[in-house]
Amino acid sequence: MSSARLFLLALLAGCDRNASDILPDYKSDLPPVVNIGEMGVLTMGEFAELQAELSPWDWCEGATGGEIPGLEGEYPGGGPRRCIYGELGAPELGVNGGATFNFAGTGGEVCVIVDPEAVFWSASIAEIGRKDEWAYPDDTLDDGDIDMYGGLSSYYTGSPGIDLGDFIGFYTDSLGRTVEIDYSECKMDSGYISDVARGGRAAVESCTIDTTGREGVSFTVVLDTFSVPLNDGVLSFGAVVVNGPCENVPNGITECTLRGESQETGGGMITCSDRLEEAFCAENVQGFCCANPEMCNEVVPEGACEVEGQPFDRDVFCAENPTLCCENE
Amino acid sequence: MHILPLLVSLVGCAYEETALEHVDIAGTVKIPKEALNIEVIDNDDNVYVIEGDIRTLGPVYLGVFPGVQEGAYAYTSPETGPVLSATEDGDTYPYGGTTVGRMEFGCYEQLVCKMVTGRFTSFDDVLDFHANVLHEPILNQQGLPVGSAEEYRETCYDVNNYATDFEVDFIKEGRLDFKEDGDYLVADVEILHTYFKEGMSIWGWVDMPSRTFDFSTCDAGQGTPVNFYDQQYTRGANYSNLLNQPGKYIQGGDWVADEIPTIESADDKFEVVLGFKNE
Repeated sequence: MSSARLFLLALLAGCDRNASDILPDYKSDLPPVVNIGEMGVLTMGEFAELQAELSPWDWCEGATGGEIPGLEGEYPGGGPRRCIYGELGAPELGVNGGATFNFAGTGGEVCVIVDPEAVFWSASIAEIGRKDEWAYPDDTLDDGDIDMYGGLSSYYTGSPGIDLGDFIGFYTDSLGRTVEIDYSECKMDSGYISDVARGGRAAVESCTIDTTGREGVSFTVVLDTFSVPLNDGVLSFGAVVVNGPCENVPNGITECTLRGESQETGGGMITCSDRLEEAFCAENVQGFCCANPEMCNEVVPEGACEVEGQPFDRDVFCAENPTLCCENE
Repeated sequence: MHILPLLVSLVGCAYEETALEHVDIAGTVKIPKEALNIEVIDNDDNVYVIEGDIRTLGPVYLGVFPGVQEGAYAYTSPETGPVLSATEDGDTYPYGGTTVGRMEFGCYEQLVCKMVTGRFTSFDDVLDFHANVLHEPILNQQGLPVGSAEEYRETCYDVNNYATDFEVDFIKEGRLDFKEDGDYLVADVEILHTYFKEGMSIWGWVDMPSRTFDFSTCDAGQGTPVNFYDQQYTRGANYSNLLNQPGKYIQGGDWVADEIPTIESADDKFEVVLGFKNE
């Protein structure tokens, strides 16, 4: 065999893989593209009410006080729905999946929040200087991710409920040069770099949209499916619009701002997933996972539950942290 | 058979560089000498009138735009794309641009956002300007006036890891940006690698210092951090959208283009006159 043929054959070796092994095997019956419809803009008081609710998904099915012409009677009380705890199926290969909803501009700043699945963290695996807090590994198969975009509905290029679009438009200057413009007004601040950023796997995303001078004008929010959990092929999420800028949300926007968004296929919170979020926000993931390994990773790596060389005592932990042990009501 | 890969790799050589839509253009920028008449105020609220000192001249920003418009501001300004926010101008989507003199770190915290390249001939020149013209001597780390050019040089070399004066961008003996020509200051300028369209306009402005000798186009909170013994601050840097939204940065006392050339060919030599004083 000549060296040239050998070279060509060597190149072809890369073609024996189609990456399907990193896509979920399980295909749910849930639609991959969903139009949620009209969403209300909660006052900070209503938002506090949502956060205090034990069944936030039921609370969201109610209506806000405000009414939108044409939507009277859509929800109890007459206004649009308050918020959403939803689920998305995995899209076909090469197709964008996700959800869209609209809200009416208030004439001021509003904060849009989406929280996909529960939480994700990178396990600390260093032999020296290990961070005990993050030593217990996350179950990466149950994580999904959503990227959020938003802007004026008139700039949105997608067909709600049919296919996902974007907010890309074009401007032609006086000499005929065409410039691509991103009309998205939902600019994320990751805390690490300013302006455009993404929350990352299973992380909450939020942005402030300024609707000044556009009261009553329709805005569209796109929840773009970035990844679907590999264990069940269902991406669950919670989303809400709150009146006022995001920096006004009490205690900041964290994984605990919206709770219980990790849901069973077909609805209903995954038992104890809200406590996993609570443990994450309290930076007590190691204790929670060691006490409830079924919620994190059944296979406990050697030493993952040791704190400064001492073995983990579940009884002591549960006595000290009763809300972080799943069997405690 | 062995020749096939060679032939394939030669396909890349068929690229014709003249198909590029970007060009280098050159010309001059002119500023009335009158722009050098400014007022400054020192820390004790004493007001000083400075006349005709080229060291007060701020950075000149030049951009290439599809066109200009009247009415948005008191001065002629570049045309903009759609306004996307109630609080901000639309983007001008410039084709290209450059500066004549730029903001540079002057080696001392006191000089953050107060130093422009192409204006000084030596360290002594800088010390003289601040002590005898602005009446605000440059203070060193101990809060004492910098006593000599040697001290200044040593600090610059230390803070910036320089080894020669050639690396000190704000000292360019014999290579100042502007020359006097009658009633004007004139500088040669090149705008490299700009997108080209027939009829495009060259527009710009000079950012003149405020009464406290600050420049509105410089952000003291940006730039490389200085962590030098007990000194901790940032060196300052230009805002990144000066040509995209110039209206945010042009303030009273700045001089703006009022003779705005258009370019029909990349070989055209342009002359921009910054003849309008924004009050």
